[in-house]
Amino acid sequence: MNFKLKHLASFIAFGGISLLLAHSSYAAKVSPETRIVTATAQLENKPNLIAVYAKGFVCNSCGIGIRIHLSKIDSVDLTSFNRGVEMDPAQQLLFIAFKPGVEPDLEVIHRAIYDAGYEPDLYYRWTDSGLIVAPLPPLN
Amino acid sequence: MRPNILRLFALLVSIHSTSFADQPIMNMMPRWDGGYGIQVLAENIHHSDLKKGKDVIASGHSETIQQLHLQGVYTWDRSVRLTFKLPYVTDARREVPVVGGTKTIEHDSGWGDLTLALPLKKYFNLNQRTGNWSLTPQLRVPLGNKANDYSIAKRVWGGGLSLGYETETYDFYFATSLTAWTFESPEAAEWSASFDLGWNVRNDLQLLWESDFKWDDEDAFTLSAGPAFYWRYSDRVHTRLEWKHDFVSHMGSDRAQYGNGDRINLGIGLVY
Repeated sequence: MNFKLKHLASFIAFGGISLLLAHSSYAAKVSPETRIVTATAQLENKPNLIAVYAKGFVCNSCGIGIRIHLSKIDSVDLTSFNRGVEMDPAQQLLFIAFKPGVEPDLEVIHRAIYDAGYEPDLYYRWTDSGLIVAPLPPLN
Repeated sequence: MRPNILRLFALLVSIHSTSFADQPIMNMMPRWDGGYGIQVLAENIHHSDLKKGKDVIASGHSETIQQLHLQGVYTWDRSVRLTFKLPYVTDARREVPVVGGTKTIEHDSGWGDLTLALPLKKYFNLNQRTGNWSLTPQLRVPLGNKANDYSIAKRVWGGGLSLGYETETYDFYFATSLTAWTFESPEAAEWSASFDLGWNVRNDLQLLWESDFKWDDEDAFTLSAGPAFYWRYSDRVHTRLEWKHDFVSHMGSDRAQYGNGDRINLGIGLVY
């Protein structure tokens, strides 16, 4: 029994160290300011693109459902990026391309990202007056 | 005389469980509403010795199991999934000691027992981190073949419950779980714990170190650990290679079991 307890204790210690590593890794490498810089670089003078900051979107592999859901929206331009969506998990940003002249439905975008398992928060868009950053409309 | 000895030995040697706690697909997908997937794993397990308790009672008497696992998942929404896991033993062989110091070889093949699971997940999405808590009731359905006394499948009903926690940042992945299984007589109840730590090398590549701690109510327990590699070929196609070595392999004191094992497992999964 002592033998089991010793190994169980070592496992718990290993797990604790692993958890600390995982939690400590998200030090403040990313901030609202770095997202604005990234979004500006991608969106400048491209009115048919928007960017969305989605909380929790840190992994491309887990986030592929975002592309699956967004690419089903009629107004998304599937010929741009990868089926209309470029993912930047380092900044938790999604870039979505829309067909020229089509106004994106922000609530539909919110729903698609939420249904993919994430919490979309802000959107970024280039306008005549520069970059705007605003909350997405709430889900009904 | 010899058949009787073999039969007695077969009764004394327990069936080694080859189930593992991971859920399809690669334990992490799909987390989106209406998502589904299927994966196939090819697994090779090799146990080097026949043991009783801590002691090797027949050195060099090995067991090798080669099997395919067909697994599937459907996600209603992020909090509710249904999964199935069905193994098929392509070939299993074990070396059985007989009187006089020689050994004979037994084989098994065919379908294993079906495992159904209902992972219930509570996701959290934070700034630069995501994760979930999970509660997974499971059911083992005895579909396994019974060709002879040597059978990889348990062939009894069983019920299991897992508690899990996963979290991931852009760089790291961490998962832990506790699982309990109880089976119809005469199979022993089992408990297991796992700790997985992963490093996201690239957006499409993850390296992991996985550790499993498993014991049963016949006093057997195994500590196995090893590396795993996950590679996303495309949004649809995902692959995983895993190797686990038994660093501690203690069998029950009442029954002989094959231990000191290594397990290699290669999987490919498709998600939609």
